[in-house]
Amino acid sequence: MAMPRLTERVGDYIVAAILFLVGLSALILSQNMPAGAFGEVGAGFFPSILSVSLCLVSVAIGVSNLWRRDGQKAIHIAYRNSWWIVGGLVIAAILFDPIGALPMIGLYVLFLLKLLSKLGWIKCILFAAATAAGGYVLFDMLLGIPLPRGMFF
Amino acid sequence: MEAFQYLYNGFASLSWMNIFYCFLGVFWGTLVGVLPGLGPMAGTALLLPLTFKMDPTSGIIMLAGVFYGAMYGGSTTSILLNMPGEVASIMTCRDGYQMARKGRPGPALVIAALGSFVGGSLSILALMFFAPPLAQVMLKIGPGEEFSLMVLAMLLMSYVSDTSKLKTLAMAILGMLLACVGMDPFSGFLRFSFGYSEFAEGLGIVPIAIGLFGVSEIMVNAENILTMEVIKPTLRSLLPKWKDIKDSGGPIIRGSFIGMIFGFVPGISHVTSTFVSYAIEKKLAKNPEEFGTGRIEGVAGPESANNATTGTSLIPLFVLGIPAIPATALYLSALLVHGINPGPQMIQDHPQVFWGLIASMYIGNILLVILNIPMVGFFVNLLRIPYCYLVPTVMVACICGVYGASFKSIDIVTMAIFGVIGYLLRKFKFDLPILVMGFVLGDRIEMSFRRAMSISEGELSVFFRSSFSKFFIIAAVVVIVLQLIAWLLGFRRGQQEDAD
Repeated sequence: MAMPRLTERVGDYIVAAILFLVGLSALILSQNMPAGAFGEVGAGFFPSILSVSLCLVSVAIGVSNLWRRDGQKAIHIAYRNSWWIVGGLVIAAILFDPIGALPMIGLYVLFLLKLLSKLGWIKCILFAAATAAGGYVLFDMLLGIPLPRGMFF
Repeated sequence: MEAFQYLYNGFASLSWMNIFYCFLGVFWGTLVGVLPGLGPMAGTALLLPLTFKMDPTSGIIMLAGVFYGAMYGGSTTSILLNMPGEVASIMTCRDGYQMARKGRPGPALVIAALGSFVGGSLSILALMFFAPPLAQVMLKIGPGEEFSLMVLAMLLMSYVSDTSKLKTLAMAILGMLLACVGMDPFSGFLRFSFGYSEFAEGLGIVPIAIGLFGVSEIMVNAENILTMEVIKPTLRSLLPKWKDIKDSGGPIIRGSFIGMIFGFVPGISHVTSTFVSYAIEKKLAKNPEEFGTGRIEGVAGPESANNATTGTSLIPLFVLGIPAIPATALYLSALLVHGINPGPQMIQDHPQVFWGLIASMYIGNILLVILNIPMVGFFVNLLRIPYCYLVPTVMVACICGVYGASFKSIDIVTMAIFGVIGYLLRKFKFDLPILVMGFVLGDRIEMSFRRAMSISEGELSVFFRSSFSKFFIIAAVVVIVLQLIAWLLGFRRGQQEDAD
């Protein structure tokens, strides 16, 4: 079976559905918060109002899409580089504390260079090392932001 | 005359350190405007954690410099590359790049810088003269009026948005919902924390802003890594002819006034002012068909307009505590971190912040002309750095900047998640800046509402008591009705087209 083409119109339906689910989830979670009374509004009142509003607006987006004439332009999101950049970022974040900022920044920069360029390993390693060192000097030493040392330092 | 006295005090209290921070801000802003991959929002968000350790005056001076610096920097890439470094420089591409192709990049760059200088200077004058008396008037507003005003501001922003009104409204509501994460300021109840203590303080503005604007921008640019061909002007070729200066005079003045008006109204973005200025110059020109082929008026007007928004856009922030444009939402965060509540009391209680900022903006404006004209060669050479080197450098800055804001590596994950959200929302044409505005204003809207209800002991009439409040509520209803009418007209037009 062929995959449906992702167009602006289809994308609007998907995002509207996701927003509706976010609103609905927030509404359900808000029921566990004290709503209070008008004279002393509780913690759950405002989130409830906002979640109901989000659900209504997302339904309105979906409904208004029904008679939309344009929106057939294809939208491409399957760009390998873009997703690898953010995937690498998540792994870098998870390993930031245990491995340490300096090695993790170096590894991430090396990964990005090999992903985005045709440079050889030596140039990439040198640039990665320089960026990690530069980042450490700028943020840790000059700006006083203590970066995690990790298990190696 | 009093304003000049206060301004003199502002200059007198400006230390060399503050001037240095001003220089840092405008230099970083110009870099951010010139280089693809960040943009003024992410660029400002990156500096935000650094301001937490500074004096509030120094912090705001530096952050303000980023914004108007980026306006200047964005015009450089528009003229030399046909690529707007910042969204507000889109109109400059049309005629600026054509002038560069005809061998006249220098006059385009110089007139853009001069127009930005004049627009920025006039805007600062407006801030100086209008903000203090307006603040005196606004001292009369209480939490009820504050709530009505902020709701009106959010509705107005969604109404004047360039994208779909419903999508913009959805983003505003989502932003306000995200602001609910964390401890309720009144009762201490933990909301949407899912048992994680990391979320007790709520989501941070820094990872959200850098993720939505910085990481998503990198993801978009990584789709097609291009080698850029840059037109490089020589220093001698920078000199404009007398005719260029004569032809630019009118557009610069008109653009400045357009920008000042647009900057003042919350929701109408500085980008819109550049479109309006361009349209007006084209209308007034003897040969409008020449616009788009390299007319100097097409550069002078829009560039003056976009810089003229910088000063007046601070008026709603300082006088009402409402950010008129997304960049000022981050200044709001910076002020709140320092315990300064922007609003009518701010100019009275913290005059050194307000007048120090104004004095620094005059200096910053001059610094920008110095940076952008003789140093244009330096910034142009930066554009030749292969993108594969820029991306890792920018990502490292994002990681360290986000970590520096809270010292929690979970915020780097938050930044990545919002990077994905920002990337997908951009693709489907949802308004990202309004999401940040909703996030920043969400807490204040809720607090105003709850305070008003507490004072009035549950009486909803508190929102209709004063004439200010009645005006804001009626204006909000008018905006909603206008939106419904626009939607219905669109629906009926669609049905008619179907019938035809």
